Amino acid sequence: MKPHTRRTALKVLGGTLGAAAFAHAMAPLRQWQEGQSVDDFLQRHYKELDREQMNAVLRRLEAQTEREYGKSVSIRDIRPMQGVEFGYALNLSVCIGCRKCAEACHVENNHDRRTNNSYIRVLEMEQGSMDLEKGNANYDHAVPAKGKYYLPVQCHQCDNAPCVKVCPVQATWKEPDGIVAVDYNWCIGCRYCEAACPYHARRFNWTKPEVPADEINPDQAYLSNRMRPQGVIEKCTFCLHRTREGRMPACLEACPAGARVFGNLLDPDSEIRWVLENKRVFVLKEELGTRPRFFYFFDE
Amino acid sequence: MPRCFLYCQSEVMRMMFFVSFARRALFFSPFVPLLAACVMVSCNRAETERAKAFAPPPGEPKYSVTVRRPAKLHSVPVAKSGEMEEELQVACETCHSITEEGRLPQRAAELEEFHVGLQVSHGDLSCRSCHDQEDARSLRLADGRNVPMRDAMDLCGQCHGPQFRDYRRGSHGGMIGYWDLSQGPRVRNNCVSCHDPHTPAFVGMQPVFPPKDRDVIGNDSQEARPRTSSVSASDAKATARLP
Repeated sequence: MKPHTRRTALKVLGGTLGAAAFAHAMAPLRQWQEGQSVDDFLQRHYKELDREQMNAVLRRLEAQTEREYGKSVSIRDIRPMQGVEFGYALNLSVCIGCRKCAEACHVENNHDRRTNNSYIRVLEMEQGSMDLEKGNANYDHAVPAKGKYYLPVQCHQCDNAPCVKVCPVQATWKEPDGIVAVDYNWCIGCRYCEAACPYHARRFNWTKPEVPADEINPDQAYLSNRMRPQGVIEKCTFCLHRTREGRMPACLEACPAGARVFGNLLDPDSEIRWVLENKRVFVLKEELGTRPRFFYFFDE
Repeated sequence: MPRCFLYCQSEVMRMMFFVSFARRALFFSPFVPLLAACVMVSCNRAETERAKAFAPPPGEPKYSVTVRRPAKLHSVPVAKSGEMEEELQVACETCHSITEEGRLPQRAAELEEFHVGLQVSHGDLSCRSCHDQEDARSLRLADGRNVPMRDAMDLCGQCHGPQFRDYRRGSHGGMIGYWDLSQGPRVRNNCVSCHDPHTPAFVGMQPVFPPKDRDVIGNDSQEARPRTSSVSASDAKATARLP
């Protein structure tokens, strides 16, 4: 037998270190075993699921929610209405910056309580300026303050959405009724869309959302307000679990000043069409060519 | 066209290519009418599909829009009394059933003896602009007609035309319910739901929680609290960052 040389010693050392590094790299897989089932791992994209498979997915997700959050919910797959294209307008002459819209979104969409997450951010802006860089979303004084106006920002469901273009796995796409949807089970959490959005409308779940069972909204939909897993992107969906059945979004109902207008852009008699045709309407960052579906207007 | 056609120097050679190409194309001649028919059918279908996309929105409105009426006032607070500083309410009829309907005063301050704490801040209006001189229970429209107090919206709309037009078109005033009236009803506020007729300026309030962003004091720990911003410009510069 050959005597052990320095070379063999180094080989053994290198091999040991390599094996240790490999085991350390594989360590996250141990956590994966707890969180995911095989069905979860093998689930296909939303657009590829037929009715039966979709129902199986919904039942599995309902059971998962019951296990993890202790609340029995009903998750539906609500398809777009025919002949409807949603539009949303906000009256900046009337908005007082109370953030009740953000609170309603927080409750309706089962957001993480620890971070006060919401799809809506209200920016306090200097009157006379449209400089979004100087907008302050963290104000905490009585509103409306003198010399300021308030600009709530949420996902604009852009017709030419940058987030849709950059997603490497097509986990986000534009639906026929105008809403840009996210399949949370297909999203890989790379956050390209969050970087691409010019309005900072997309939110990432750094941690698993924590919501007490008695505060969970049980009326849920697959593409909107069901409990999201950790590590996926989410955003405003115009409350599609409400609006695709004809109801108003939660933020509109909560606004005490009546600053929000929602409706079907294809209906010539709708309120949103009247606003777009008769008021001084503009969109944010128009020069980027995103063609948003969310409009702002002034009364004067 | 084959590539060698491009390299043909002489006209005759190019002519020969044309002829041979035409001979090959002749093979397809029986199929030309069929091709034309297919193109026409697909054009028609595209047109009807386009027409369907712009079809009218879902259904005729089957459900109604209800406008909340202002509550009927039965009494007014006149003073605070008792250990708990409760407001003493006096029924309107206590006085208005026995006093003769006199003339309305010029300024609300003259009513302080009876309508304690009545603040009026409605532009340059006097009491008589809205209230009827003789009948304390009704309002007077600009054309001389009287309306009950609960139909105040007609009176508001007579002076505030632009706001009333916006209201009728759905762009002013809160609502709950359905945007699609073929699927459910809608309930709307009236003017007095938000605007007190004597001090109609919309009241400010304390806002709801701000978001706990990562660049606020305490970062994303449990003790995170929002960066409080005063209205001064220097503070605004320090806190103004899009997270």
